[in-house]
Amino acid sequence: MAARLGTILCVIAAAFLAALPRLGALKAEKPPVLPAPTSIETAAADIDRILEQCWRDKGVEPAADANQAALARRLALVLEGRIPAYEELRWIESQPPGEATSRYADRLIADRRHADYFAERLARGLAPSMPAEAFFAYRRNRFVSWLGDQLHGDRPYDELVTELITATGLWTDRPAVNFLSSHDQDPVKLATRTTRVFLGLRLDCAQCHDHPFRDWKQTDFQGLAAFYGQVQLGFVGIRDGKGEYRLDEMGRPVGEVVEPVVPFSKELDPGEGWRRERLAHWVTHPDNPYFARAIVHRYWRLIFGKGLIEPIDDLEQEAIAPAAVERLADDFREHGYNLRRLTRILVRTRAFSRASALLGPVAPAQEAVFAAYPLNRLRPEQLAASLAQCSSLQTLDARDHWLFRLIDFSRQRDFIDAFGDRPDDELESRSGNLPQKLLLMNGKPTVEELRPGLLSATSRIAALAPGDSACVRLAYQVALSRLPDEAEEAHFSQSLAGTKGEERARRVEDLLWALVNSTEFSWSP
Amino acid sequence: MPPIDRRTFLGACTMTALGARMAGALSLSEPGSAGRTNARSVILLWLDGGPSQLETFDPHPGGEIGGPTKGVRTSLPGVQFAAELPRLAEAANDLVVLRSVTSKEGDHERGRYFFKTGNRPIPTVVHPALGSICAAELPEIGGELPRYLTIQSDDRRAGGGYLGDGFDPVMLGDPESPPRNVVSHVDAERRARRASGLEVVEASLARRSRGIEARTLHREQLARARRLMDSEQLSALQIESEPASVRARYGQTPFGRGALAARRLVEAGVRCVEVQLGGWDSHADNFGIHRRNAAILDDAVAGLLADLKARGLWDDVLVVCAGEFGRTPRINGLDGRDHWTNGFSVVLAGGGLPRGVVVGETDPDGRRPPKDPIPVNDLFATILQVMGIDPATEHVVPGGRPVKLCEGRPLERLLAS
Repeated sequence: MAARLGTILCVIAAAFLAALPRLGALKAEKPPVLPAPTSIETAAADIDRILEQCWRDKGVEPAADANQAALARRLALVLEGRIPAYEELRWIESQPPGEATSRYADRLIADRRHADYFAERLARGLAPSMPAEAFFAYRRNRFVSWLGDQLHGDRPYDELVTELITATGLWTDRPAVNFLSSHDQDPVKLATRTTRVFLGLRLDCAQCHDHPFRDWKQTDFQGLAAFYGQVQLGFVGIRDGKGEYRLDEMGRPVGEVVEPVVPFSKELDPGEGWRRERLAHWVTHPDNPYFARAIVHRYWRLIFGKGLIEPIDDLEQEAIAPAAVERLADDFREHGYNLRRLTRILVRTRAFSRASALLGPVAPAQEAVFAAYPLNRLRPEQLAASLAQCSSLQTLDARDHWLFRLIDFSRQRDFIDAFGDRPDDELESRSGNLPQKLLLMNGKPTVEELRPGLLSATSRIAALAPGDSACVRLAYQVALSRLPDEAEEAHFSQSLAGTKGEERARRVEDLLWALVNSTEFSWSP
Repeated sequence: MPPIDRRTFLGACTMTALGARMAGALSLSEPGSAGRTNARSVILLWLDGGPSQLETFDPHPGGEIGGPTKGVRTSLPGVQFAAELPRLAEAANDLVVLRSVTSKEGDHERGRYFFKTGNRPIPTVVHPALGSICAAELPEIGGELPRYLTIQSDDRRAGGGYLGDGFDPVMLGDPESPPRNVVSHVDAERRARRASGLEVVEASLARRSRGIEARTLHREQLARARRLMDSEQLSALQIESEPASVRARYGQTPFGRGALAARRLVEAGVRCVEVQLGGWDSHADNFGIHRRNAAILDDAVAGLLADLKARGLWDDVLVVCAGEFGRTPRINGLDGRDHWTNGFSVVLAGGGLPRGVVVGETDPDGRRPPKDPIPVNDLFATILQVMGIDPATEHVVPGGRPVKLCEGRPLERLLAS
């Protein structure tokens, strides 16, 4: 029965594929050149060994493995910020067992949408203070697009960061300068951001006073800010002048000139040349221990939803399994600062494929040390994209043209309004209260995405699935990436029994509404 | 009318129709440590960005730091407000004006956090905001309405913190437009079908993963959302049902409408409403910005206070009017003032507090620190005390450490009955 349904639906899917040019996303994309898979697997296995040791030391048993469907959902949410399309679940089933999950992960990672999604997430840490007005949205989109290009093109991370720190020119033709201009090219803000994002250090606490319990002195922070002390904004955009950097107190320059000085590992500062280039050299130097570590923590948190330390821009705390961080950081340095490789290693770990509390019994102690996958609430953009995905059986098209992004942007506004989306809240996403529930229950996005219509998933599930049970199963796969259990199938089949036409479509809409409003839809598996 | 103190007022209340209406709510108030009766609700009028004390409640006209701002005599002898606040100047003998508040956080976000939670930000603990503390520590009296609402606020950090997401505020926009997404687009039959379908899906999850509801609180929140959709109390948000004369009193601005909605909400039993008026961050054009904002502020706050009095809510509702810090005595090159934490103004009213009190004094030359400094966390502790919440109440935070709600010490001189 299931096989027959599968065949029928494959035929249906193929028919639609032929009919709609926008389904081109299904076509095999040319895979980017990736390092040999064995080395990725070895690295992932090393991380697992370190974690297992950590569990043994703490007397924690690992959780069971997540099932394949749940893992596919987790991967799509983590890597592209949306749930898998029905056609992707079919594709996964067609792969050789044992390889399906890793092949799906590689397929997602090679996809342009992955680069765009990660660019969006990373941009929050890099270019935070852009208000949500059209002009800034456009400007921000330029920046995110550019960042997506860099990620998709496998730009080594040290080069990428160097470009961000040293960019000059106008934001229109050098989108990288948005890193500087979104901080009003202010030396203090830039020094703060540079140490937090690229090094995971909160040196800015030393802005007003010597750090109470660390080694940072006020002068360390000031010396760092001086590297940005010559940045100016003029007719040709961001450039560097010749002036000296002085401290200012409430807007008034006071005291003597501050020379650019790095706060530690002083031997890594070339000591001469252009200030921002010196800073970039020092930040990205292989011997600066914080550079690789900071991005490893950031990526771990992107992929596991919870950091090995929290917050991840305060690395002077004891991490869970510090040896795992060092192993990943070494690998990152040794393999040309390749972010895609780092992503592949992390999703290839067994730790990534453990069950979460949504899938079965998990103790807090297991979650605390990644012996279970953390329970994560979907972020607003993940929810918006997932809801949109429910309107189609196929993967929604990748559209990186900025105009489409602006449309998506306004489409997501409802979610962002209800869920909160401070542009810099990457470190702390809180949500889950009344307005958000009301939005999913009654809001325009739910109404629009689930409304029956010619190409809508709702109508197609109602019209094309052979029989009530098949209809219910298909709806479950579209919305929850899993099959219904017996009780669920019985309940909804009965609700559909004997209906046809518009009434049937309405009942499928009600079924999808229930699925979209369930706990499972709002939390990652 | 001579001022009525709280006891006289309560005595009078019990014999009137008003008293009967209020009795339910008042019976929940418990005596505080100083023998006074606590406020039932708090309205925080949040002036985001940091208003200038010199252009609001603490002008120093004529001197080097005063700028073009003129003073106006208030109903308190010898006390001046900025001329842009004529109605509040008239109401000064009802207010507690704190002119020497000091913060340790000169950054907007950190300052906001400090003021709204009573704690300086630290990496390991997220402290709950005032409204969340009230929602968590005080019994529910609002029926289906949320206990903590914000109006026109964009502050997503102020929330339940270590008390949990369940105490995050419900955030509303300009009350001119109805609250969003509270009406279902389908008929009763389909609503029932959707609800029973959802129960089936949730039951299946509960079979597989016990304890998930306690962690996600998803079903509880859905049930709350549904109760709110069906609630007649939603009408508390419909400010258009107020007489035009009352609406006019608050000013026809989003902030004025927000203040009016806040009054209706606390009347319906909400514990805390925060209404935001932003745009005070006057690094440039300080005086233009303050002229425009002060007019909005004056109408809304004076309107609110008069209305609270007229409706017999004066002692039940504490009004706090504040921003994250003040602004520099020195005027910068752009005719602006920058961030200033060493002596700025906060106004309190109602809630059983004494009337017509001015605390602290700033230096007319802007050089010396203020007299009688009031640290932000002492002020926060005072507000908690007025609400009948002991600031020293401890909660165990993630990580297992007991943490006090606030380390500040309540200002006894305001709390003595």
